[in-house]
Amino acid sequence: MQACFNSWHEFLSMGGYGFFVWGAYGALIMSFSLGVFLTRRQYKQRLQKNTDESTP
Amino acid sequence: MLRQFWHYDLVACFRSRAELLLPVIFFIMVVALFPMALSVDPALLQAMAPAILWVAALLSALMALNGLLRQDHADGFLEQSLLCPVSLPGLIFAKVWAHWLVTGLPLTLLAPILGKMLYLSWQGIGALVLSLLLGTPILSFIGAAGVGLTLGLRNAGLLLTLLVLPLYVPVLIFGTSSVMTATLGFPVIAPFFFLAAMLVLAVTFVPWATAAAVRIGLS
Amino acid sequence: MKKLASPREFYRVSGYCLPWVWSLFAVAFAVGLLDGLVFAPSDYQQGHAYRIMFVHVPSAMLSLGIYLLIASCALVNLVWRIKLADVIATVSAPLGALFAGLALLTGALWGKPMWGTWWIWDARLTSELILLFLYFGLIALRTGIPDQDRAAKACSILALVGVIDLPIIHYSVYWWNTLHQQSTLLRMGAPTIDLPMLVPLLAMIVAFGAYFAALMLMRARNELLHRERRSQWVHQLMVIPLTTEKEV
Repeated sequence: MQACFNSWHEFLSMGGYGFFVWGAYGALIMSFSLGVFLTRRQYKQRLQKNTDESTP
Repeated sequence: MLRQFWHYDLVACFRSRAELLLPVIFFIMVVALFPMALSVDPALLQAMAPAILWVAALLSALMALNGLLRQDHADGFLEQSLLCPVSLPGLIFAKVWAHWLVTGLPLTLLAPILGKMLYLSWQGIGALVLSLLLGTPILSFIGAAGVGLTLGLRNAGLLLTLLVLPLYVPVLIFGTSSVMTATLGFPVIAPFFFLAAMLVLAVTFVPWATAAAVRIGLS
Repeated sequence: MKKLASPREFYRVSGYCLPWVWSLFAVAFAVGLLDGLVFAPSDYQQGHAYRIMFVHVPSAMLSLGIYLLIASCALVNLVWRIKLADVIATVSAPLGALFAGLALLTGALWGKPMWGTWWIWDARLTSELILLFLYFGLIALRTGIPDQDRAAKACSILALVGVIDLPIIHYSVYWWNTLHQQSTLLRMGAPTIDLPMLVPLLAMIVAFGAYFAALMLMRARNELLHRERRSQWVHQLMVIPLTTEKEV
C-alpha cells in the first residue's frame, strides 16, 4: 500500500481538482457535524421541555 | 347507486359553469404566455410546443383539483357517504371520472387548436391528443390521492402541489416524448404503452389509497 | 422482537447499541477517508477528481435506501399498527433528504470538472432531485398535519404511493435522457472499478450507513421522549440526572 501523493502540496491540490474534491469532502464533514449538533441540541430541548412540563 | 352519484356530480359541475371554464381559460392563457415570453419564431415555438402544451395542461389539471372533493368535504357530504352502503373507493372512482370529464377532457379537446397556434404538425397534434387523453385521467387520479391526504389542512393547496408534482413527472415525460417522437416521424408505441399502463395502475390503485386517506382525514 | 416494539424497550436497547454503532462509524469512516483520499490510486481518466465518488455514491445509495426503509415502516405501521415504525419513518425523512441533498451537491462538484457544467440533466441527478422533492413532500405533510395519528397514517400512505411511483419515475427519467451516465456502481461492477477503489467505497458505504443508523436511533429516542412524555418510564428517566444518562 503506497500513498499516492509525494507532498502535502500535491495532496491539497488533488491534481488541480482541489476545489471540487475538498469542496465535496468539506460538505460531507459539515453536514455530518451539523447532523450530530442538531440532534444533540434536539435531545437537550426535549429534556428541558419535559422537565418544564412536569414541574409546574 | 354509483351511477346516481355520477350523474349528481356531473349535474353539480355543470351548474357552476364559470368554474367549469376556469381550468380551460388557465390552459389557454398559460400557453399564450410562451410566445410572448420567448419569441414568435415558428421554428422555436414548434420545437417547444410539446413541452409547453403538456406543462400548461399539467398546471391546469393541478388547478382544477381544487374542485375535487374539497366542496364535498366542506359541506359534510363525504362524512355522510361514510355511513352509506356505497363503497368509498367506488364513490371516489366515480367522482374522479366525473371531474375528469369536465376538466381533463375539455383540455384534451382544446389541445389541437392551441397546438396549431404553436405550429405543431398534424402528427404531433394527433400524438398530443392521444397522450392527453391517456394522461389527464392519470393526473386527475393521482391528484385525487393528494387531495385525499390534504383534506381540510391549512395550506392544503400548496401542500397538494408539493406532494403531487414529483408523481406527475413520469406522466409529463411520457406525454411530451410521445409528441416529440411523433413530430420526428418515428413510430410512437413505447410512450403510449407506458401511459396506458400508468392509467391502469392509477385507476385500480388510487381509489383505495384515496379512500383510506379520506377516512383518516375524517376520523 | 415484539418486545422491542415497545417504546421503553426500544429506548433501552438503542441506548445500549449506540456506542457500538458510533464505533463502527468511526472505524469505517477513518478507513474510507484515509484509503479514499490517500491510498487509492489516481484514475487514468478522471485523475484525482474521481475521489468525490467516495462521497457521492454512498450518499445516493443511502438516500434511496432510506426511502425504502421509510416505505417499509409505513407498511408495518399501517398493517400491524406498530407506532415505533412510524417514529422511525418520521425521523428518517429529514436524514434521507440530507443524503439526497449531499448526493446532489457532490454530484454537481463532480460534474463541473468532468463535464464542464455545474448541473446536468442526466438521469441520475434528475432522479435524485425528484427523490429530494419526494422527501420534502413527506416532511411537509408530516409538519402540515397537527394531529399525530392522522399525520402518521397520511405519511404512511404517501410513502407507499411514493415507493410505488419511484421505479416508474426512475425508469421514465432514464428513458427520457439521451446522454445518461449509467449508475456508477453498476458500471464499475464491470471491470472499470478495481479492488483498490472498491475498498474505500465499501468502507464509506458502511460508514454512511452507520452514521445514519446512529442519528436515526438518537432522533428516534428524542421523538419517543416527546411522544411518550406522559408515560411512567419517561418520568423515571427525568428523575435521573443528565450526567448518568447515556446521552451518546
